Amino acid sequence: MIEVLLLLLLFYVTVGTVFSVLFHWRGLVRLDGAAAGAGWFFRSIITPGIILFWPLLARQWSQAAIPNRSLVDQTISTETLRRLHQWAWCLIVMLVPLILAIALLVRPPARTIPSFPAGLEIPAHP
Amino acid sequence: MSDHYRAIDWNRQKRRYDVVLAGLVVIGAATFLGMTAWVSPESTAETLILRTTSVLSFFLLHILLAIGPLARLDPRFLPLLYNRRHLGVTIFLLALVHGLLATIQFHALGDENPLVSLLTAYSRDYRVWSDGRFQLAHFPFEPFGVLALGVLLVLAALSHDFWLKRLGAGLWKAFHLLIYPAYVLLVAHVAFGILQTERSPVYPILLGIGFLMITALHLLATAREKVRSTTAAAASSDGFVPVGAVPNLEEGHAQVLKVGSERVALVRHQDRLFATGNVCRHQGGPLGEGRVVNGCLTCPWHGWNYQPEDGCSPPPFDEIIPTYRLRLIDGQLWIHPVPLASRTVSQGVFLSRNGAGLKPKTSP
Repeated sequence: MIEVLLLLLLFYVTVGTVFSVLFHWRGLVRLDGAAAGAGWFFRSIITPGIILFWPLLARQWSQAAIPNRSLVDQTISTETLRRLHQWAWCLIVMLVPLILAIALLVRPPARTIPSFPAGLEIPAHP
Repeated sequence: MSDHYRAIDWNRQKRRYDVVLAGLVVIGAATFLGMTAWVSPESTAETLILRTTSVLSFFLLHILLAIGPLARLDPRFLPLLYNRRHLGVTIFLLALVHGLLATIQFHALGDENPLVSLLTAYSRDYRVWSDGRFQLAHFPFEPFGVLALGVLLVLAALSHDFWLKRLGAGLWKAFHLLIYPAYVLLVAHVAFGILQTERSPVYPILLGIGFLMITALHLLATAREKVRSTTAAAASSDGFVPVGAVPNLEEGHAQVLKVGSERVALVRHQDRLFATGNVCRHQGGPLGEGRVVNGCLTCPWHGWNYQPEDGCSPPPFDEIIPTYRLRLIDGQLWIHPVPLASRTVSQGVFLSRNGAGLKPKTSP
């Protein structure tokens, strides 16, 4: 199961890596004029994101007839984000103490080094 | 702002921020290494590096989570928020060193693929049901760490403004809320990992203090947030809703106002009152907590500018925030909840020196 998941991940990353080369070559400046003339350091900084989010960029590249169009417009309102933030904290406040309590309760007793049976003690240095 | 991309938009403030951050990492690492080497002189170099990177990364994550509420509670903490993304990337890099080293040391020396071993080796010895009873001790803790590292990787990869523009501010911010699940995953990683073998009470006490500190800060910041709300039920026939008395704002200052489900920034500029959207186009910063600098409403987070009259950023930038109509009648302020057409120049409502309305006037 884990092997299959890792293979799928490897496939996804490989496609993303190939895509990132093509994207740097033909897509980046076409998609975003503000990237024109940007140096290799900028390109290397955004490359992990290109590999991770290549399907999103591929879709945006295919719709690049409208220059500088954002892939996703502001579809998540600030109020929604605020509510998500509140929910996240409600969950954290419940989960973190629960995790800590369980971890401390199930903690095995401290390991003790058994004493050597009589006659097997390590001899002292002469 | 959004003229041309650079790898890092260095300025004096960012350089100072990064120097302090690097200093904190070096001093923190040296202190922890020294203490661990003193308390456990038998520790190997690998163990020391593993523990130092994990402790530093987790400690910096607590600082990262505390910055937001601290900046809301006291504006003197705003500089910490300014370059928070570099702090986030530093946390990821430290966690990456920890993850790679742990994988190499504990999973790369056998016949099996190290990644497969990382995700399965521990669970081979673990049974939820053992000897006729339910048991959670030695629960596999590595997958929690792997997932948390994955989340930190996504956040670090998306940290450049390029991604902010590609995804849109809403989705970009939503992605960054993943820092909270990452925190829970790391707590689980620590709780079912080192806490199971390390008997010192220092670790659980520090974990508890960290959790209580950031929870208390978030609760305080929420409780202290002052937002005036309009009453939709009392709307006039032409759609204006009452705000109440003219807010006692100093020249150049702003205030957040809740109109229905939206938040609006009320700005006093040149003895006039303007209403603009409260959400900065950069990272969604609260413009109503900003100030007017050089004639522009300036976001307190990263200094993005908007003209209060029309909501436009000054040339050559092209960001626009919405603006709203205001009305002043008998000292009472009214606002229309529907934004004006983009780039409409508003006259605002005129105020006297003491902030009271000079005469009934509707904007624009």
